[in-house]
Amino acid sequence: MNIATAPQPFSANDYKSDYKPVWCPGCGDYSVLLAFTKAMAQLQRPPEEIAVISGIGCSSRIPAYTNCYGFHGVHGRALPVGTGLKVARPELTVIVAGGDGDGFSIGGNHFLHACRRNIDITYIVMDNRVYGMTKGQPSPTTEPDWDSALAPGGTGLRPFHPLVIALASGANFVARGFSGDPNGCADLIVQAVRHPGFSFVEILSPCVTFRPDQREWGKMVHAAPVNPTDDAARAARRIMTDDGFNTGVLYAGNRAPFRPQTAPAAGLDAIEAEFAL
Amino acid sequence: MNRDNAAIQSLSFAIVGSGGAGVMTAGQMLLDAAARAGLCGLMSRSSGPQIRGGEAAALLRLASTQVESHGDRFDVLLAVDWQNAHRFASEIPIDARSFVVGDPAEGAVPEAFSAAGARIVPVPLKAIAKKVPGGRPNMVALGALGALAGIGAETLARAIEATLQKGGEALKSSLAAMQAGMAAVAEAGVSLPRLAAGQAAGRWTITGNEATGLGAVRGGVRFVAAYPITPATEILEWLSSALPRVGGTLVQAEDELASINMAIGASYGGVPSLTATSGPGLSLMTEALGLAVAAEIPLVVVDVMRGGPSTGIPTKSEQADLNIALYGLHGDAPHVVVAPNSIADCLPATQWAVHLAETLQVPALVLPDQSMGQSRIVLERPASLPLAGARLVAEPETANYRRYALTPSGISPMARPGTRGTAYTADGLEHSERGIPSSQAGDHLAQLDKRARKLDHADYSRYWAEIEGEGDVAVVTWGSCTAPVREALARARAEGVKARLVSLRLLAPAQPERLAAALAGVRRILVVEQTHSGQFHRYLRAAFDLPCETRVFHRAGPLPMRPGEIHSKIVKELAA
Amino acid sequence: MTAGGERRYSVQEFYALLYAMEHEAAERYDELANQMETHNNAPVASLFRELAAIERKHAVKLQSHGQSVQAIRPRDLLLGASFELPETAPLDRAHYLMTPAHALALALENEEQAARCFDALAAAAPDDEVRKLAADMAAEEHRHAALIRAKLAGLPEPPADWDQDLDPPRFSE
Repeated sequence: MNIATAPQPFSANDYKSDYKPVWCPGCGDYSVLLAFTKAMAQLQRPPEEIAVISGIGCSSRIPAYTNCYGFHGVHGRALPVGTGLKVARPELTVIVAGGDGDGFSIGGNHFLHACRRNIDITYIVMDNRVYGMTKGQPSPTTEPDWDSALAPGGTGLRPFHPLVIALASGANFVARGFSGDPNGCADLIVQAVRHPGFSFVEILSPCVTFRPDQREWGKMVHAAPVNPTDDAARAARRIMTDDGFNTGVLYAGNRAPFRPQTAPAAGLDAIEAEFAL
Repeated sequence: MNRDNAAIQSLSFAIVGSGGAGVMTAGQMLLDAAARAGLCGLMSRSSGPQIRGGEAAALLRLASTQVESHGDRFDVLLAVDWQNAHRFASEIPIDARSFVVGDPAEGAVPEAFSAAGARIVPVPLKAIAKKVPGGRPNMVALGALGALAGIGAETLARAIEATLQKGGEALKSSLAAMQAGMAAVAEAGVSLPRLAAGQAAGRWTITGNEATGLGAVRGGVRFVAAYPITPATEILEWLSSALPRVGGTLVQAEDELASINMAIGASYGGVPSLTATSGPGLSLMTEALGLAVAAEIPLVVVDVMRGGPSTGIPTKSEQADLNIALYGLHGDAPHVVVAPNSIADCLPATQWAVHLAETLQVPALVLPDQSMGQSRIVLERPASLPLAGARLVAEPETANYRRYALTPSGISPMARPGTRGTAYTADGLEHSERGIPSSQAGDHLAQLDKRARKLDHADYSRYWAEIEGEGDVAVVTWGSCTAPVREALARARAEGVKARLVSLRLLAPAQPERLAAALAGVRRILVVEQTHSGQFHRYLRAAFDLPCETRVFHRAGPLPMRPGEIHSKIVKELAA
Repeated sequence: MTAGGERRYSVQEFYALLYAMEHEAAERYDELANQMETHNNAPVASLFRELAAIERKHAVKLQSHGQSVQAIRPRDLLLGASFELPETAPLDRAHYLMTPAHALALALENEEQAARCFDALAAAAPDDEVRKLAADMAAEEHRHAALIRAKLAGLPEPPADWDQDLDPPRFSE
């Protein structure tokens, strides 16, 4: 293996803006930002040909921390914005990023349909199982017994299982990473971007402020013991029976990505002629 | 013949029937034939709530010149059958001068219609159709109505052929049934005055929704996100096949939250974008409209208004989305609201909205309504407009690029993703000139001022309103009320009332100085609108200086505004 | 020390590894310094900035060995159980109220881990040149560790309630 290569035009820092994150020190999202910049450097995509799209939440602050084109929209709607952008400008690399509340609660419907639609974009969810920007409420992925002011004693609700839902909804690439391993996450992001169609990367990203218990995640994660499969049923079985801390590419499918309808080019005059008597 | 109206020579026909009777097809063919005969016309639809098999009515008004709304009465009501036809009684006003053509085999004319004292013309549509192999009563009806409208058999035949392009037995029997219908009318000895015909060549037939779609394409829209909703769906369906032919794309979204955000994403990418919806969908879109204001994303959202609130009356018209269009956004969020003032105007109004959205980097709402969107008219080919609104784009490698720079006009260059040296993050959070999130009072004020300034400085002079006539009184109206107001004013003028018409096409930003100038010398105005609460009147009171006595005529939908009722108000409120 | 220690590096590759380690370490200290600046922890910010400068000096020196290694994939160089290179401070160890003592303790861990890594590399090196280089590096890291240990000894112990914030977290969006 060649570990030293010729100089390349873009280093990880070229994808980082001079605007400093407001995340809490210790937050996993710093690592995801790092992983993103490393991944883009591996891909050597010019920063201006990448668009990072997000909604609302701590992790959704990520676009402005990059040197790419960014869009920080409203809560839960990052995937539609990314979808519109990718369809209108297919030559751009579109990365949609956000948190578990943004993606799986308020944006849950878009998550299902983005998986279904299988547009060639990458969706990175920094999952910390809590709403951080509003001071610690349970999210769809929160454990049922997690105590909080909004749900004293816990929600009692079964957590949402994003990877299985992504798979069932038609995502073409499903992976899980851990923020404490930024290099591993960078690799996952590289593979996700390269894989055609909708790629979903869930990154377990601890919230040190509202979920200090998640500092233990580093000891719990482990590389998936098997190679990725293109068999969705097998992948589903694995994901549904693992301990939730299995990292790596868990599914890489072969579905053809979304293609918008095309038609033979016609001038406006030809179209208008159809209104003539 | 509408003898009450000095301005418009017209004949109005209603065809009712249920359960696959084919009244819409017959109506469509009648309009087509009339257009081929050199007439103008309008056809709207009314129907029960059933997807299939429900009672339906095709409502036509044929005229010598372009008509944009229905008159006060119908000259002919033809029923293929009478099942639940009484539900249309309020939509199909008839009187002693009208003809009611009905099949005696279908029973007596319902009380709701017979009470008008119209002349009943029994025509055994079914029996006549039966005599023709494969013949259908709606084609007999077409022949009957064509004869009453003075349209020749050959022209009617061409309209049938245009629809039944496959030809064969179906065409043959339709033609024979139509001719039998014409013969039946001749036999019954009824006739109507003839309308003067013009030149069919060069004319179009188009629905308001199609015109809206075409206005978007002419304006440069090349991305549309679609979520179906009555009565806006036809805009999206038309664009779905038109856009790919001009290099554009339509994506069906999972809901309206997605559709508007997709359009925002595409527009952020540099492609002029649009979505179309109706009231319930617009309600879901308001958060994202605010995003487009804050992030300065050009965007057009068409709201084809229907009866509200909530699911309301999806198939019928009202102007009651004015408030949400004007005020639905939270925060101080200046944006553009444009309303077409006729079915034909759906095209230029939408094109203008695209132009404003693109040049001002702002969301523009377009507010047609169901009565415009789902009606078809015959008109002269719409002229091309000198509106090629291109957005101000940032140059590559702009030094110290600031997306939200505080320029004198308020408009700042918008970098297109892919451009080197101008990467930025568009943000719905309040931001600095660079686009960095900021909660500083200075940045907030500067950006609020900037976003307001863009709209204040724009030039709306050419299209902001239609102003017609002279006089010291005026009717101020908007949207689909404009056509019946115009007709009512024509009658009033014929009676000696000197009155102006001011129909606002630009509803927001408000143009109080322009309206004041348009109303200079006017002592009294009548505001006409189709809302229950008088939304337009309240808006005029709030945002404009009305330099005179103001009277109001507002009423809810879904019944169309009639020239006659407006005329009475003009006489009562303005002529005194 | 497994993966990295077992790998047989050429001299050139060894320099690449060294560069990657020092470069990443410097970048990380800068990142932590930025975080502390953003969160108004000036003393720790300047400490991290100093550490970054030291590591960067090493990186620049190594770069002069003629090998540019910008595109190195640190994941291929993982040593032991850690997710990152041995001299790189894990991001999740940061805390906005951390004291200079915490920062130095973190730096000490990094140096010690780097030293252990080079010890292992030296032991497993296939040729004398690499073995000597690794042994030199190990000695250097041990020296750094000793320096930091001495500096750390001069600092007061962080109070028991060092991470107590008198205010609750704030709402942001």
